[in-house]
Amino acid sequence: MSKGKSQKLQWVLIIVIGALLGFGVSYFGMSNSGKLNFEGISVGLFRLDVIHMLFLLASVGTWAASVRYCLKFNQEEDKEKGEKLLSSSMMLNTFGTYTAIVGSMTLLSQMIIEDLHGKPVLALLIISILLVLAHIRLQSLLFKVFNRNFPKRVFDTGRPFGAKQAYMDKLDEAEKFIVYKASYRAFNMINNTLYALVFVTFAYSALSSFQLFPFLLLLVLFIVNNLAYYKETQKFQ
Amino acid sequence: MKLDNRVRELRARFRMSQTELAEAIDVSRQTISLIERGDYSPSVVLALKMAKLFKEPVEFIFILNDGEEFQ
Repeated sequence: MSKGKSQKLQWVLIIVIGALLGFGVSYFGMSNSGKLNFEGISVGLFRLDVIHMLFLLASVGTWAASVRYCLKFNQEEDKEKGEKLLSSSMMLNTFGTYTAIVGSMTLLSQMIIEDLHGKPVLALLIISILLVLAHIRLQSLLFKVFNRNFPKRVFDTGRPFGAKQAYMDKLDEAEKFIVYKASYRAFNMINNTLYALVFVTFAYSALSSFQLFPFLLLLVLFIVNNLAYYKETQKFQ
Repeated sequence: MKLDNRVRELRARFRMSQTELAEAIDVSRQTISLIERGDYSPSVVLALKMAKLFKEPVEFIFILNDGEEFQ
């Protein structure tokens, strides 16, 4: 078997095992949720606050790492190493922004679902929102540092729309090749994840109280993702 | 079919860093790095720019490897 095929099979296996494990654990957790639920925001298994705390931790971690890389970039004399440090810092902060947003949203949804109004929960929500703002502020500072150091490839942060396209036009051929390659990988990864999630949500809905919406939502995402891809390839045939 | 190249060797001969070569032919350092590693085949324009800079024919810098030994 070729190396590529073997790697693909490994990924499929990881996704299937991960999906089965996730499904089994969450099904077990939901069926025993009565025994595991605690009052307030105390840490309980399968409760959203655990997920929220994990996102919060990931967000703080990525923010700190991003700042560290940026400071290292300022001290680095080697231009090539510096460039790598700055791009790592920007990527980490982007990832951290998403985790902070997801963390805030999970906490907010928990507050709504469980009707929580206690001071600790509100404090956590404020911290989460501050964390989102801290990530956004850091990202804008990182863009300023990037634009100052790489004047040929300035990213226009003042344009709400079209800034990414304008930046893409400034890239040279190999950089565009990297973007296309990375985008194709991301497309495949999303497709495979959606495959697994469509089956998992369907099975989960069928076994517990049947809810069609999550399953349909994923199915729509799957169709939109593939339609966009086929539409683009069709243009060049 | 793989495209081998002598970019690293020529860069060393001209005592240029990746960044300096990139600036000379108006591309990014990543592009030079990708070409040297053989992960990216440059366009004809870029290959000609390199040939002009190194004062060597394109086919000396880039060699189409069809399985024969690369010398």
